[in-house]
Amino acid sequence: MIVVEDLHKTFGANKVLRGVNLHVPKGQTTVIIGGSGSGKSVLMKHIIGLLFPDQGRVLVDGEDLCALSESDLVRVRRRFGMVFQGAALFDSMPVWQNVGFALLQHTNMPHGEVMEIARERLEWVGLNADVMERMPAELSGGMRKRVGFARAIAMDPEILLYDEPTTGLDPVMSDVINRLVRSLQERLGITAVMITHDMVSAYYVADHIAMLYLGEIVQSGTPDEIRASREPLVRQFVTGDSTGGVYQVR
Amino acid sequence: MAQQSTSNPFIAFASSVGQVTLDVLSEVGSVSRYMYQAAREGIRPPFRVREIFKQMEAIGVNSMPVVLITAIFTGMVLALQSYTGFKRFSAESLVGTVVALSMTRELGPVLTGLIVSGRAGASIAAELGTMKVTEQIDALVTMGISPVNYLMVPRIIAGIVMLPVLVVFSDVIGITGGYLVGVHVLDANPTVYIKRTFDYLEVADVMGGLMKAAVFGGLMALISSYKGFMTEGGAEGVGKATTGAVVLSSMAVLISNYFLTSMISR
Ligand SMILES: Nc1ncnc2c1ncn2[C@@H]1O[C@H](COP(=O)(O)OP(=O)(O)OP(=O)(O)O)[C@@H](O)[C@H]1O
Ligand SMILES: [Mg+2]
Repeated sequence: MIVVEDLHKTFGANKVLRGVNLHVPKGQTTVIIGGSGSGKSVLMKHIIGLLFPDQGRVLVDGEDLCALSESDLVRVRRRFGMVFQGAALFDSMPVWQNVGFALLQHTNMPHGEVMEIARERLEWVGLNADVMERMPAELSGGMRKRVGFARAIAMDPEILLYDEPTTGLDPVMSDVINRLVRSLQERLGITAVMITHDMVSAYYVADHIAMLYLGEIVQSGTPDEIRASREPLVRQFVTGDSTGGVYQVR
Repeated sequence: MAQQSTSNPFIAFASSVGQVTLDVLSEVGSVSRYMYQAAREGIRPPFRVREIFKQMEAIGVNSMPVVLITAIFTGMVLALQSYTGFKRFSAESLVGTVVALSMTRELGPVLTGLIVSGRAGASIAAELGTMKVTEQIDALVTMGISPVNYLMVPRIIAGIVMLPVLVVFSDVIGITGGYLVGVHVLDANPTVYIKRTFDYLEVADVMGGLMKAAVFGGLMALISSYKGFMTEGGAEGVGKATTGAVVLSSMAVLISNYFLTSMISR
């Protein structure tokens, strides 16, 4: 279980997070929604210890990330897999080495086996084996995104963080990814946090949905609770209405 | 800002000098922290032999042509210049000596250090800077890989190893260039020229130059990787990091050269 307590983060004069509180229950999928620039990616980077808060803390199974030594932090981070918003593929290596990177680094597994795992994970995200030897620069945006997804799940992590995994994918591929997220959670009991702008996928994968607005969580609840929410901010956001008047763009 | 700036130009000048000094000092502080971390992680496994060889190729082998061209012309011009000077007091026979000593002690290491700062330093900063702004470095960290261990240490080791190698070639080619001009243009006696070249050249001269080169290589790789890691703000940021890496590495070569020389010459 991951607990975010009173998280504050400021970049220069830009107060991005202003006291975020969030519970991510074990074995369930929590979806974070919120406007562009509201700080969702920044929040996710705090959860995996890529960024550290100005105030507040992040607990992963009771361990405060700010209080850990570098080597303990590495141990905690290795329990996670993360899909980056911009894929963040290593552009100096072919697709299969990207997917198998952590295996190549942390285990003595022979290359043949690593390729086998890479092939399998790529298949899960709807890519066939002929992308294996290609370089990231030779892939389309949606393909890169899915290679990033395959890389995140290569080590069978306990916790997965997905930053907009379906943005830029066609509807069918989005559905492949949504089903994969669901099945990883159901089959392997993975704890997941997903950021998305896509309410269809949010309702499909989420056990809980939390909405971030102006640096705070304004509402959280089950998909049904969010759907039935009377909170004007949430209503306006989930229905995608730009004329509602309450939701202001920073 | 406008209200803060004072009308007294002397105070304004002093405060801007003060600001620059503070900036430089804080930069030196952060580079030193990375140096310490690189040293700590460099002596611990995993040792990335393959990465090191890759970087040795990038830093050393690929810089060879431009280093050699620089060296031969430097040796040639040294012979011409010292001949003109020494003729005034009839010491033309010392041209070979001057070329050999200048190349090995000073020009070989410093020019090679500057060239590699420009070539390899720029490419290290651009590559790591791009990795930074596209979150590849964040991705490494999430997978439990230390960017210092994976990216910085192999580059520093390659710099420390390859710069002296480049300088050996530079010394040899530079001395050869001096010989060609001395013998074929200035009509020196080949036997005398060669004898004069090696009579006064000591092993310590060459070794001192190579030691300096090793330091330059390490500094160049450290500073350029640091600039890459600090990159912020897209393509423009990568451009700035690259320029910054070249300027700072070149400065580091020239400044450390003075102190190293004064230490070695004791
Ligand atoms: N490293 C950083 N340095 C400075 N400012 C940053 C940094 N990272 C993010 N920000 C700022 O924090 C704010 C929130 O950014 P963030 O990427 O979290 O938005 P987001 O909610 O993920 O938006 P989107 O849905 O568009 O991805 C933005 O104003 C951004 O400019
Ligand atoms: Mg984002």
